[in-house]
Amino acid sequence: MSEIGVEAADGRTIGSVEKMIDILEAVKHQNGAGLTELTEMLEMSHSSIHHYLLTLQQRGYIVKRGTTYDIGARFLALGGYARMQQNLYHIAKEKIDELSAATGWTSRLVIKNGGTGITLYQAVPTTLSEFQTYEGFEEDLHATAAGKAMLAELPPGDVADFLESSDLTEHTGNTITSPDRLLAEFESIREQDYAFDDQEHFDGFVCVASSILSSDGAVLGSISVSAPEEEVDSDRFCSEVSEQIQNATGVIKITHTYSDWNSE
Amino acid sequence: MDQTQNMTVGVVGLGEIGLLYAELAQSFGCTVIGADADAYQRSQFKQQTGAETHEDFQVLFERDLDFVIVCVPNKFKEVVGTAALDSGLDVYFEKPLAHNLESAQRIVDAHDQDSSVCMVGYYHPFYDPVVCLAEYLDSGELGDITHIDARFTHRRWVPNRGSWYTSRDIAGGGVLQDKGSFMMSILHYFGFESIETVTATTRTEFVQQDEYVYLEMWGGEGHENVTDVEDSATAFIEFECGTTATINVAWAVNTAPENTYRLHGPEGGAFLDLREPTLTLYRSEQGPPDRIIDQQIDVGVNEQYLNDQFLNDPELQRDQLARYIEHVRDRTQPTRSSLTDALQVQRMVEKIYDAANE
Repeated sequence: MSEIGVEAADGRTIGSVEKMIDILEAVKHQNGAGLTELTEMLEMSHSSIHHYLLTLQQRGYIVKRGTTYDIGARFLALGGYARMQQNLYHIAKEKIDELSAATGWTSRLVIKNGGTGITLYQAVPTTLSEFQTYEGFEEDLHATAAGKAMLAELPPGDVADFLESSDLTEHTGNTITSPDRLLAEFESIREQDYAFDDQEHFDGFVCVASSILSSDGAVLGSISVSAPEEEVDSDRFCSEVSEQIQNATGVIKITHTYSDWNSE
Repeated sequence: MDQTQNMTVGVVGLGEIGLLYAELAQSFGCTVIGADADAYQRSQFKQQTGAETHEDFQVLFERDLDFVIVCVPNKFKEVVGTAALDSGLDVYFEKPLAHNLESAQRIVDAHDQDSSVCMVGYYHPFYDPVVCLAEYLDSGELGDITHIDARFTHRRWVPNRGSWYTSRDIAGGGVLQDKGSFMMSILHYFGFESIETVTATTRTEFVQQDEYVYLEMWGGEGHENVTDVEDSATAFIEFECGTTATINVAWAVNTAPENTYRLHGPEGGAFLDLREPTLTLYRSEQGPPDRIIDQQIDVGVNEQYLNDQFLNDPELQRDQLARYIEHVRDRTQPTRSSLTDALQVQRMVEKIYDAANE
């Protein structure tokens, strides 16, 4: 169900762990699900799923409301810890807040995790009451500015692997789903140093993003700023915001290079 | 310089400036070891100097070093500098001392005068025409200076555009931090250091232009795409002693380039041109017959200082480094471009920034 990108040392994985993760991801996918619903989705027996859920519930990783099972807050304990372990989070957090304050729009720090992007941190201006993404939000790399900015800087072999293994799901009418068009898109992203998402993931929202690279060129993550399409002039949004984003990614890159020194 | 032949020098920060100091130290016969967290800078440095390099400066500090030259990006000078000072090492800092006043203050606080000989790379106070003018000022023959007009303007000289040099966060500012600090170091050396009031403006006109037109770029185009600093600044300063000063500094401006200091006093004035080093004094004498005197002072600037007749910075840096090595050998603290001098320069620069941001 998910692409992890890492195999167990001997190439084998543990079936029960796989099953547990399948159940958790199905629960999340359905925004909470009943036992019957899960049995229909997964190739597992009703009682087996029930045992998994019960075990997870006892450990605080699943909560039950009525007949609906949902993801427990205990995962946030692991998630919050996972984030604390990310050097990039500590280096970039302040810059994300600054960008959001300066632009008046939502700013996100996204990292590449296997074949998807994960929002490590985001700052939403108080004027926006609700936003589609949240910290920990997982996104298809080909469908967002943040994802495309990272893909554009990957070694050609990794890009080919990604295009091979990804479904290139169509999220809106604007999502680029052709590998050739994506490759051309990456080329122009490298040229202009930023990526643009023209409502390719969410209808009504445009984003601009730039990647954060290490001093030896490895992709660390990306920073994106998103705004409602009807409230901005796309060209101006791109030119002005991309400059502000690059000022941030540049500083983060330099700080990252010297971060081992700074913590001494 | 025979006695420097056995010296081992640690250079931390292996960019353009690190390379320059390493080559100067090598020309004195010193053995150089470098450190930088950036693998690309290390490999470039190794290629140019043949010196051994390390990723971690702490590894460097464990070696038997005679002194350390710190030329990392401004924001990281404190972490490297204080670590060196805490290890009891002698430290030469590239200017400015830090990216802001607080950081500079912490470096000065970490300095134990008894264990570390320190200097900051403000080289003008070691340069003969500047020294000569300072002597005229000290002698009082110009009277109490009423006004100083200082201009350090380049046509196109944004350094390493897009790198940490043009990052507010990392460099602590643009041309005011880079070149303005040189100007403040000269005024400070002349005895003007306590600013009473200042009005200032900073501008960002060229550094962010996609089509920035230039013939030469020191350090080449940077790779980080950061350009959020000022490329010119103008300030009007009143010192506590009553002297006023106008400051014009620019990496890029559409006017004739200048590096000049005009000082007006009741008994006489002075004009110092650092681009093609000349010092002129303006006086008058009562007669009869009365006379107006424009006096060209020849301080015998050595040809080696001049590059196409203009002042060649590396020669001044070589001179200052040689002076620093003498202090290290003699175990004496420098009286010019000391850490506390550099701290005061940082304070002056920060006051101008504060005024510009008001």
